[in-house]
Amino acid sequence: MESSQRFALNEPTVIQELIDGEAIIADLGRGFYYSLDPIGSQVWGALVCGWSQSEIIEALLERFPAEQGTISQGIAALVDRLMEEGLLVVRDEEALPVKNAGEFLASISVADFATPVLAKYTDMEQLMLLDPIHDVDETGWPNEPGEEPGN
Amino acid sequence: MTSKPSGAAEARAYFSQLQEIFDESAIANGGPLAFDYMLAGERLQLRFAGPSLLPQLLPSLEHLESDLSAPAQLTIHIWDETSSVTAIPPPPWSWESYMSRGEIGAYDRDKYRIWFDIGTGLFSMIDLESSQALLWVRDPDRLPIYVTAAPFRMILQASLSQRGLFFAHAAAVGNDNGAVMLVGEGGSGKSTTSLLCLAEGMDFLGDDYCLFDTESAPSVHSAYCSAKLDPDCLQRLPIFQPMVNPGNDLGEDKALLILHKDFSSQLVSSRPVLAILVPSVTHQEATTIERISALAGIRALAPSTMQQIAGPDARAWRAIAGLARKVPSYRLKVGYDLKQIPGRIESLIEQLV
Repeated sequence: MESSQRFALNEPTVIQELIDGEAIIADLGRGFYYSLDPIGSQVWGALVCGWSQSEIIEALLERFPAEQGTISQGIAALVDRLMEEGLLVVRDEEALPVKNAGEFLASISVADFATPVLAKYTDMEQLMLLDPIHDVDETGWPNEPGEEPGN
Repeated sequence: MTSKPSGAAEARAYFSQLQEIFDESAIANGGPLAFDYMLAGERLQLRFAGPSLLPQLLPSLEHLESDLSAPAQLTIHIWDETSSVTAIPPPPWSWESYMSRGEIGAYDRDKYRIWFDIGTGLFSMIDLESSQALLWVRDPDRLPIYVTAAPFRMILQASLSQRGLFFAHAAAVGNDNGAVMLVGEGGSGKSTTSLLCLAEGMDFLGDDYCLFDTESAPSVHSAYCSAKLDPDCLQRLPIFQPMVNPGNDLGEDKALLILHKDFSSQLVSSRPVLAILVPSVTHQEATTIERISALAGIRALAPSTMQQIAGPDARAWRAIAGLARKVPSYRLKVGYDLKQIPGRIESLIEQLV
């Protein structure tokens, strides 16, 4: 993944909410939802606004200069995971970040950097489950499994 | 799922055919029989072609009966195969787009919503633009108690969601100051908790499903005056035994209770929502309440609500998230001294007002 690429939310099937500093993201196309810890939530917010990975890393290094290796690897891994899960798409057009580095850093309330973690929940995955019916009687309506057609 | 936006004409034609069959059946059976209700401030009319389905589809709505001062905002036309003069024609859609919720994903969901429950033989279709809906029952003898407990749920959800009202898989109880929504998977204790509270004099807005909105201050609205209890719980709560629905075979999984006659003053129509409450059974004596995160509240409410009712509806998801943002979530750790439960919930309500 190029670190200068910019991203957008994979709409319309992916939607997001920010509640008590925690990003909660839902992929209603597949029935999965996700949550991010506080730092991850702020990074997510910057990504969907159009910040590139390198810009986010640079801003975080200003705040946590001793964490260079951890920050670079952690943000790169998060972006890769968000792309793998289909939550972000590469943005075609140039997007100006809606907040500057100072605002981004001010929104991070933790004292120490911790590698962001994306938690995935699959207990809603039946949402889009297709259950094609192949056993239809002469009236055109399906039968209950185990029923003989025409009964 | 393949959707055919261009199939609206096909869906409209099929809807019209079925409407004609309903009208014809109503005339033949001495109907239509019309019943009016106020549901979350919305005017609903049910029109039956004949009397055969009344005992199965009306009891849970008794508490909402009303004289409508204006035309209905949603009308549902209801008939069954035995009373139908003309058999309904084969549907025009492919069953390849049949989804696990019984929804047929063949047409633009903003115009028509269609469901067929293969287990019950119950077919529902709503024209969202005209606010007219059809419900056809293939075999009335196959209707299970969960349909009697919560009838027309999918049609109501599709219609009411357009006005910012959503079904929750939740119970709700409260008092004059407000209500809590009890959320969680089946077996988590929602029914037992809500009925204990009802028995202790609290207001009751639902056992398994209720409506909510979050446009301004979150509110919960009653939809059904029914409850389902397994035989063990019914033994522990004998006050509810006279309310078991006639014809309910107590050998089935749960008994269906119709609460209107005995608890009419406590079956309120709406209350402000003060909290999301997630019951969990413990092996301790005391019942306690602890604060949990909004995410934990969403995790308890969203999966069953979205999977059973809303489907992949972004508005429903946002409404659930909005509710969790606006009201606190708590875990109700239920102890084996069940008598403590209503008092704990009343104390929480007083704390939150």
